[in-house]
Amino acid sequence: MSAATAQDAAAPARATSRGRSRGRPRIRARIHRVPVAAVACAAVACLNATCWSIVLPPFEAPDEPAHFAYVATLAETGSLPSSNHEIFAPAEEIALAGLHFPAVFFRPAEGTISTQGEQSALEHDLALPLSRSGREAGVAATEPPLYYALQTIPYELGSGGTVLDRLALMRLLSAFFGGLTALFAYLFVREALPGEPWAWAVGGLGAALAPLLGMISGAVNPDALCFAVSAALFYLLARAFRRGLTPASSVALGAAVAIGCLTKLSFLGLVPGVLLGLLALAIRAAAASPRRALASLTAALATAAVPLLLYATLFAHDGSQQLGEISGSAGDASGGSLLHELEYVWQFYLPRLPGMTAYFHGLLTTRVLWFDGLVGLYGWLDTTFPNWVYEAALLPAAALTMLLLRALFAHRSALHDRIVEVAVYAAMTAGMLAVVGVSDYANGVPGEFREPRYLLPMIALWALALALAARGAGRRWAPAAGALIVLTSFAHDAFSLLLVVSRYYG
Amino acid sequence: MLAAGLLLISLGIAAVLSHAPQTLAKTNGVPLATKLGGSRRDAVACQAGEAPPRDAASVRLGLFSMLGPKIALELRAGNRLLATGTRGAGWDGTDVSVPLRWLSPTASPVAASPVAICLRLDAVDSEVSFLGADSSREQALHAQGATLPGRMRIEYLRSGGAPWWSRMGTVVRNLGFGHALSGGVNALIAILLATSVIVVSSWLLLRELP
Repeated sequence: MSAATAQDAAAPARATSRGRSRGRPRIRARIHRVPVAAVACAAVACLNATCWSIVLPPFEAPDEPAHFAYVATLAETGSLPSSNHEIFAPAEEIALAGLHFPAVFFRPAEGTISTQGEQSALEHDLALPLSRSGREAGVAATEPPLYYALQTIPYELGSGGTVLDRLALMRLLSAFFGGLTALFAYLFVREALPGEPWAWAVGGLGAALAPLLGMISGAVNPDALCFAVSAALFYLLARAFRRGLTPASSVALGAAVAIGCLTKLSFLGLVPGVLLGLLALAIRAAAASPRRALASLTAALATAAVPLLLYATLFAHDGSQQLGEISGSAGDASGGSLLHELEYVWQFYLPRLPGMTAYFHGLLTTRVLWFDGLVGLYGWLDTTFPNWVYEAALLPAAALTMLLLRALFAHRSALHDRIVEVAVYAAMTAGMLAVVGVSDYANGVPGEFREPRYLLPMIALWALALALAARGAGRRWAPAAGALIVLTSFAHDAFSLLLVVSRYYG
Repeated sequence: MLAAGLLLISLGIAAVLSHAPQTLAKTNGVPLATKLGGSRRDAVACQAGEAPPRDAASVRLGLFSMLGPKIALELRAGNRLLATGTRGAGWDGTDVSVPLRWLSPTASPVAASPVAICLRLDAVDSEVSFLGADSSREQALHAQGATLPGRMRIEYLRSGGAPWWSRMGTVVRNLGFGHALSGGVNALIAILLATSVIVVSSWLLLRELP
């Protein structure tokens, strides 16, 4: 460990002792210890997502009508949606009709309403005393309820207003989660690269300015909370790998797993990697104190399991959509050949290997589905840049990749020392990719789960990659490379916003 | 460096706003009313009786797919090939646009109309639906040797026209429709938020980078 690293590692401990000696409550002291730069990154992400929430027309984010319907059902009836059909409450349906939603989504040639007459008709319809209660939540009906339960707070705050007022307030809560995502991404980079304080801001800002994070966190979508809790999970693991597994960090890890699992089903993809990490940390801690290690491991597992068991117990009796989806997916996945499924998932992300059955003809999925998607695919996946933008984006992507590889090669001994930690992050990533890929395979419509937002639970790793790439420019040029990376991220975000403006309002 | 970078981004935005977007020149008058049919494998489809304008830069086809295949398109007047166009695989949604390449400046489509548009769908992985409206059998879209129950909607786009910045007023006005807040305040808030993102990011970079 370098002198700077050691100094940095000791800093939080000193801060803790100072905090205690002043008699502050522990949580308050911890909040005060959050670096100003991390808070600034969170503010940037939150402001950016709020900007996206204004620019993106109501319900023009993936599945937003269904997510809104879930919250409305929960808030108005106190129960979970009982159907995945898509006939929503009359108040929402009339808003969708007034916005010409069916004519706009998936139709990049069609903008939003654009005349005073249409606006007046919409305002008239929104003011009608229609029922807000429904039982159906479309594709959202299969998701667990935590995010939606939290969204009932802004929903109720806006209960005196129209559907659009409530949606706007709910989008603000998502923007707050976007801020949390950037905060934890910064903290993760700080734990992963403790000796390079300047690089933390590069990673944190790179995550905060990611346009896809802005769009999803500017909409009503459980992914907003899923990204935040996933980034928190990466941070907590990195912290535990650096400082050791303690009962407190174990409880925090378990709580993050429970929150994630109660937020979105696909979060389950991260869980095997987290379990691997907990096991590795416990084995390491057992060298000093086997009893303490066992206690920490038990605390983590119990904290994660108790809320999930409670949820399963509460909803197992009414045959809820949520449990139905889990068992349904398992059934679908087990119905096909495992080898075919593996081949499909491989090709969903990577080029086909010799001997594999071809599932995606005529396109390189890595490039077309994922790279192009991350460069720019907004709205209902119907808003894209001109083709030359995706070609041009290969240049900065190649430069970033080369800088990243250079940094990894230069610090290969440090990488080797932390190989278990790296393996845990790799397992978490592989688990998430597998869940999305298997869902696409089971769905039967190739490419329906091609959405790049499904990669954002790993946004903390993206932040780390950006920080490492800056470091890969060498000691002299690293800060300049860092500034360039942040500027590129900002340009990406700005042009993405302009693209969305031109698609809907031009 | 930061100032230079921000200036460069501003210049980029100015360049984009100076660019004139493609605009709708003409449609074939067929509404997007129904799904005429679909194909889950490679297919060739032709529709006669089209009259593309002379300055069409691209066509927008009434197709829908979750994972669109490669499209190769030809415009023919009788046996004469007027223009071609291709679009790579991976598109999704409706209204896929295909840029046109006219084979010679004299290949005037107006003079040669009626024109037949033929499209070849290559490497189909996910169903492609043809969207349009019912029509007589003579005017209908033909796909894979079968006659579908109607015509596909086709739109023709032209380049040029007014640059983006001349539409600023329209954009600001339209941003005021269909939101929780009405009027120009939405554009104002969006600009203030974007500015604050720049200010906080720049402050942080200057504070943290050595």
